[in-house]
Amino acid sequence: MDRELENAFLEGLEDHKHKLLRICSVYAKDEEERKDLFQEALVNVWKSMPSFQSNSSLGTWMYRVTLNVCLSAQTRLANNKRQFVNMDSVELSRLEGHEDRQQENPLLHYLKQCLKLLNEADKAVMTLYLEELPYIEIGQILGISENNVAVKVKRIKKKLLNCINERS
Amino acid sequence: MIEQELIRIWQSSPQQEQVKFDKSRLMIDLQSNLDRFHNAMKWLYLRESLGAIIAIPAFGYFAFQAPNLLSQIGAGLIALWAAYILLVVRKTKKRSPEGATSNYMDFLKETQQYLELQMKLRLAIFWWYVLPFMTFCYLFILGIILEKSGSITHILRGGVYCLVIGITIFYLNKRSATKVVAPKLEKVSALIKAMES
Repeated sequence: MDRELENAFLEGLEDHKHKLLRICSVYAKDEEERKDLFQEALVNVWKSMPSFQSNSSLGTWMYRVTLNVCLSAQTRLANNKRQFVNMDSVELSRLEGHEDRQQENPLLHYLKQCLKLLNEADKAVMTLYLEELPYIEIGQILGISENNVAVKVKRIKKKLLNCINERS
Repeated sequence: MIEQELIRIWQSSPQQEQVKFDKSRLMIDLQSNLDRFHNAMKWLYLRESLGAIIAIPAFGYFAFQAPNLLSQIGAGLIALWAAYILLVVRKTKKRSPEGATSNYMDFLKETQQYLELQMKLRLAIFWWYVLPFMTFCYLFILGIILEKSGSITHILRGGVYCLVIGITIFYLNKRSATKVVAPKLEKVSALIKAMES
């Protein structure tokens, strides 16, 4: 793979790493699985880089790959831990003074809990909505119409807010 | 109001977390993972095809050299059947969803089609795998019995092996169809329905 593609990948990763990690966190059962999904998403993004066409932004395209990786991890016929990739070069660690994020921000804690209760389709829509992607882009990533996205967002938002209100 | 607050806290959430990359090592890691993936795929295909690759020439040989006509027919049919299995494995592999870059809905539909094919193959395992295998095996054994060229113990043992292999393959496939494939297929179908509603 040429240097230009490698640089584009590294720059895209630097810009979107937190967003990708947030998507993985919604689908993962625990911290370890979140890292596994994130690493697997990186491998798939890297593998598909030569086929990336700039008719959508690199960030949007990375979301698409990450969502598909999170989904395929759940539909694999062999539920084998060894199928996840392991990369020593990726390290996730808390910043000092933020040992317990959930205590610092209860709203975030409730939001995460309620997101996990949604079905996979609603999770995908809501994750992209929370990233403030335009409806048209969400539609392109998910393969549904813009109107369908708007209807879904309205319905899921109501469900999510009710869930958070019940908990807070 | 609360919506904007939710978006704000959501987007700021992992900023409390460091995501560190050793860039030069990351590139090496990625490359080695890809190489490992390609090697694993090659090995998987080789492993699945190995039985057929061994069976085709071995039974092909007996198709000409077995002492009895029935054994020759049985051996020839086993060789043909092994070639057919090889084709099924290759065809199924091609249908495996690899569209990490396609949109979510297309990816779900690819996955659904793949799971449906897996389900169909597993549920019909008796007709396209177990029944031909056992029929051809017993045809081969019957030829040996008629020729009286093997000891009764060996013939009986061969018959029992065929039966055990057939029952095991049937049971394992039926089990994986209901316990592994069906729940995943149900989940993917429900997701497609949810996306379309």
